[in-house]
Amino acid sequence: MLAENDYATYEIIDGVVHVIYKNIDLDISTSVRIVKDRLKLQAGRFMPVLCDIRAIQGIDKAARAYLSLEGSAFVNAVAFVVDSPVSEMLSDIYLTTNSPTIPTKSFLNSEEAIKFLNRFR
Amino acid sequence: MEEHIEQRLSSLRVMLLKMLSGSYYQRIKRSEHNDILESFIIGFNVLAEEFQDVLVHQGYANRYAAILDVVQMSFIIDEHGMVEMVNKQACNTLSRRKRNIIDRPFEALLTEGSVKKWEKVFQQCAKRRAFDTSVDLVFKSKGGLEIPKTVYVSRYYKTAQGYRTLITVIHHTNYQKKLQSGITGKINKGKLNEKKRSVKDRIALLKKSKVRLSLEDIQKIKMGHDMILTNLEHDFPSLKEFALQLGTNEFKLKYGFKELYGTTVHKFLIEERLRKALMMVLYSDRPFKSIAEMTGFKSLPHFSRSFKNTYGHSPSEMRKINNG
Repeated sequence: MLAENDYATYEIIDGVVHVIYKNIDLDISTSVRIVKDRLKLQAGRFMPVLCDIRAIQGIDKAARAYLSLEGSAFVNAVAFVVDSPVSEMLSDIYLTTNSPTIPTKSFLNSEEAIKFLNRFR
Repeated sequence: MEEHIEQRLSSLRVMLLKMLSGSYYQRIKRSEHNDILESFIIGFNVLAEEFQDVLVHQGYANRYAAILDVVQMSFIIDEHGMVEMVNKQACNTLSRRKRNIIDRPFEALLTEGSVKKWEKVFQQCAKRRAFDTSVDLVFKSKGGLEIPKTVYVSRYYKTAQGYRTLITVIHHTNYQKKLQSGITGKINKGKLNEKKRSVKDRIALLKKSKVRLSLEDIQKIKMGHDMILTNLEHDFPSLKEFALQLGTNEFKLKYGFKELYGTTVHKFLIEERLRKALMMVLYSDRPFKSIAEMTGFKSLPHFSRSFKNTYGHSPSEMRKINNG
């Protein structure tokens, strides 16, 4: 099932939610919207989530805080897909400053990310 | 060296020096380049943000560091958006001369993205006699750095000269710093001089001043904070036991937690449990009994009561309202 908003596209493939972020700057209002739409799609089921953040420009502190708490609702585990200095730095910052409460890891490609997430299905 | 690299390295240098001098409110402008230098620029901006937060939060162990809200920048704008008055601090903060700000458009001080935001607000402003609002804008400093601020806008009527708009920008700092920068008693010294302190309060303050948290203590408290978040559904031990688990004592845990997070351990626990529960109530069909269990509440009535206390509606009301 595919869904989309101004900030990301969503698809559930084999029990994993694929969230592909667009070329945006994440602040608290965009984060709230992103989480809301993902939760609508999941309809109350716990699932692992793949976050493709390769196109993201930046993420402010309030957004990071929101995503690490409310943004982890109904999530078993999160895998980031990164591929550039900027996206790697953004995921590193998130991992260090926001100590997420669920298993979270970064990968350079989707295949490895899915392999990690499959352990949590 | 390529021009854009030189330019960005130079911004990085200015930023580093600014941070070393103790100011954390400026940011380096982001560029389209997706290289290692850009990743460092991101890192520095986030570092400055974290430092700023620490400052507002009074840092770790503190003595009489009451937070002061000080007016950092104020402007008076005329009906055409031109700056009629600007205070000295604003000139310092923006690294510009007064004569380069007065009689020029206010927009000239903002980044492109903020100009659009400002125009919208200013237009809204122009439609009413009196108008109060706040908006987040990013100022440009002379050194090429950006300064994001929350700006308070207030429109009023000045007879014979038409409408004027007052813009105020607040800066958080602490008492110690203000003393050092030489601003005297006109500033509200916060809680300290407020009312006569009872004996109990004075003893409490004295106790506070004797406790200094070491870096190790802070690490333990942070660990405690994280442990609570990952174990919301489990029973919470007594503060004494919890402190022991973390390798500290109850007093340090209580005091340190309050200093770091501004709330007590128990209040924090309930808040976070309810926060998790809210997401489940709003975005799933799970029965409230199971939500209560998953968020560590001992019984459904206890859960519903706490929920209603915090959110103003019972879980069932909240779900109904959200689902329309």
